[in-house]
Amino acid sequence: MANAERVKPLAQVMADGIMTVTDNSVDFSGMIVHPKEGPGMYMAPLDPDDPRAYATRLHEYGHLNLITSGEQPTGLHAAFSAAGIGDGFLQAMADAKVMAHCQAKGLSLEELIVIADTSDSAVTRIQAANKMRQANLFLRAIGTKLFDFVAKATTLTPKQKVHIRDNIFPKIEKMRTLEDWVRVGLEYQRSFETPKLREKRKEKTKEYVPKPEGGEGEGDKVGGKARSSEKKEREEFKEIAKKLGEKFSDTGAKKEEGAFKPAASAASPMEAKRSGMLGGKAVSEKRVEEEKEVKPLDVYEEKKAREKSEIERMAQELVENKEDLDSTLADSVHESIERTVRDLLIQKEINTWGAMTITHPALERNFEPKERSKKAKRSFVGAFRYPHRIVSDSAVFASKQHGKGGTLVIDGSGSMHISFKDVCDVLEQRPFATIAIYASDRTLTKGFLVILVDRGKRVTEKVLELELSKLGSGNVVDGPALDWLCKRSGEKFWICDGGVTGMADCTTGYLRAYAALMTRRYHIKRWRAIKDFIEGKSPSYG
Amino acid sequence: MATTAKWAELKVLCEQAMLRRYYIWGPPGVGKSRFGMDVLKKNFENVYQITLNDDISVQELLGHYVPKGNEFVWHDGPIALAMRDPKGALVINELPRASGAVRDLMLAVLDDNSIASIALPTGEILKPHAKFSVMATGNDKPEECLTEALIDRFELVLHLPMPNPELIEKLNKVRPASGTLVERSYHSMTNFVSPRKMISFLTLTARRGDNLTELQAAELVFGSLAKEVMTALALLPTDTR
Repeated sequence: MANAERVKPLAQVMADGIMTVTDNSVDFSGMIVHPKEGPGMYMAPLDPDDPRAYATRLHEYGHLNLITSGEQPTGLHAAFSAAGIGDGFLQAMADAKVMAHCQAKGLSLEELIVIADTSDSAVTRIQAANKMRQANLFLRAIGTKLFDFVAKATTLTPKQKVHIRDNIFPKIEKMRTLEDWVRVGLEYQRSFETPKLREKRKEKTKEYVPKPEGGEGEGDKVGGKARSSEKKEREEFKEIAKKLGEKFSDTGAKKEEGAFKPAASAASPMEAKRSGMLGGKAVSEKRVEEEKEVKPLDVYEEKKAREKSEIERMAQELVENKEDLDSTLADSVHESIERTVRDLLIQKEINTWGAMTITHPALERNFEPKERSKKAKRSFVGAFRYPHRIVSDSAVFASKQHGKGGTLVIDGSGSMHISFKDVCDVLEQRPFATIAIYASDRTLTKGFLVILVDRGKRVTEKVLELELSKLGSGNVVDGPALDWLCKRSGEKFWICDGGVTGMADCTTGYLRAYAALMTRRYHIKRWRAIKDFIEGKSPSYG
Repeated sequence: MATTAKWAELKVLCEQAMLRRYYIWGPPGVGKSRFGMDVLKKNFENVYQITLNDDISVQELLGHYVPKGNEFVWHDGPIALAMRDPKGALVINELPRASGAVRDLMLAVLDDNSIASIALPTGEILKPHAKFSVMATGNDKPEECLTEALIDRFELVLHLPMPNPELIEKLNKVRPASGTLVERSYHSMTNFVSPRKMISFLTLTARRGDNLTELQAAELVFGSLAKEVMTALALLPTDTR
């Protein structure tokens, strides 16, 4: 069976919604955004043959499937943040849940275990020796099924391991509601506490210090004796969890937050008011009241709006003063401004496309008559040219061929490594009715789209050289260029490596998603490199 | 008027409405042509079918001379046959893929039956019979791929974005989750598992001997998508739909 170059994952099946798929290096893990939580996104390595790539894809499928089926509720990041549970624990619990889910569905351990090689050195060593069976036995022997790398087995004491195995993981497998997740998360986080952290927590939240039972003073040991205040804590927790549920459940979160927000940023306002909470201790009623008063989400929104307007103002200034910048500022100043804007944009995950100017240089060269002529096609009317076809399909006549339409747009940014000769080669092939190239200008705030071929005429080589020299190194205007392409009639083609960017040549998930949506909606065929096009390789959709 | 009403209701509506010219659009494999054939077969005995592409010429569709013995004789194409046949109707697959000349011909074919007429090279003026009906299909939204003049000739534009729900249910009965997989895969316009492919896979797995594993059968049918399909079949809930 011949493998395609890249796998096309069925993320939309798992998510039951529209998903943007992004290829990722096999050295990095994957990530997803479920359509319930924002614009659906699935990022994973799409190598067809690498088992690690498949394992990562499978793992991300598991995440999507859990959210679709409701076993992993939405609004978890905000709820965990409010309860003072670290993001790492949420990730670990979600991973553990995926593992359990996949195993319960009968997917092979060998496929799943590959993920472990970046997470646990002991497993890695065994796998490196290509001893999969021993690796499986190892995982089972330590009694944590596949959860050892979730629990970071090598960093835990034996008692902690036992506690996690016996008390936490069975709960992780069963948890479904938001309250379940937060409750297990608190318990999980507590089981990781070092004695020092535990002491600190006791000092800060004295009302929750469990009283030692039987005078041993070991009540707070993980997996140790039962706590005398456990019942009281549980009741308090129920009340808090109920409030959290109301605040961060699907409907509650939507009401307050609107669109999807990155988990990390959603945590920030709560963290500011969380000085009294350490090590995942349950929040007291008093604290909940305090949080109600300060309205952290409003504060967050205000802060974000301020930051966004500041960035937009800076970007606008750059656009408006571009001429001055070009003439007066030295390259180093350019770089400094670019860096500042870029850092701000990347930090805040907000960005827009740059403004695009369409340039129409003189198309002074006609294609040579010989180039223009096309082979006549067999037909049932026209000149009597193919008498030999009388014995086959009787199409003995020849009719004139019309040139094919279609528009090709080339990403001319630095990452494409396009040379003058490459563009000349494409023009020589003259495959489509219209060909254009685009890239940013040097300020990385706007860009150009230059028409190189239109209606049987093309630019001369001298003009081409001049136009190419004006292009900057960034993309910046992928979106407007795609918009222009989509308005053209006929088939649409795009040569681009997929690295779409906006202002200051930096990208965000939203810009990538926009480009992916446009390519999908308008059936744009794409080549990843100009060499692929010149060598006649097949394009792919999207 | 575009509509996304349910399949069964649509079918009944089309059969009863007896409109003359429909355009059905949606992604490949959802059953547009089958839908058109089923509706037309209710009211017409002979349903002619053509599939268009850029290389098909007007003469192939309308008719042309073919050598026979020492002379050339006229040979009706499928459009001429359907228009002449009093019990005939026409299904045109992939209309947007037609060449410019064929699209121009369609302006005449899709005109009102009372005024439509096509002059043949034989000198004959071809007119459609009174009940002549046409169902055209395509993958793209008509506004994006057809001219206004052509769109205007269709009395009803139907959008079928998902496969027939009855088929999905049948697939789920044969192999749990297989229908759900097919249905959900159509959330993507470019990477879907068509009912046709899934039926092929299920047929192959049902008939495979001991020498062929299920994964191998999937590889034969789905190619590089095989592992993804098998994973999806394993993970999807079996009680959905």
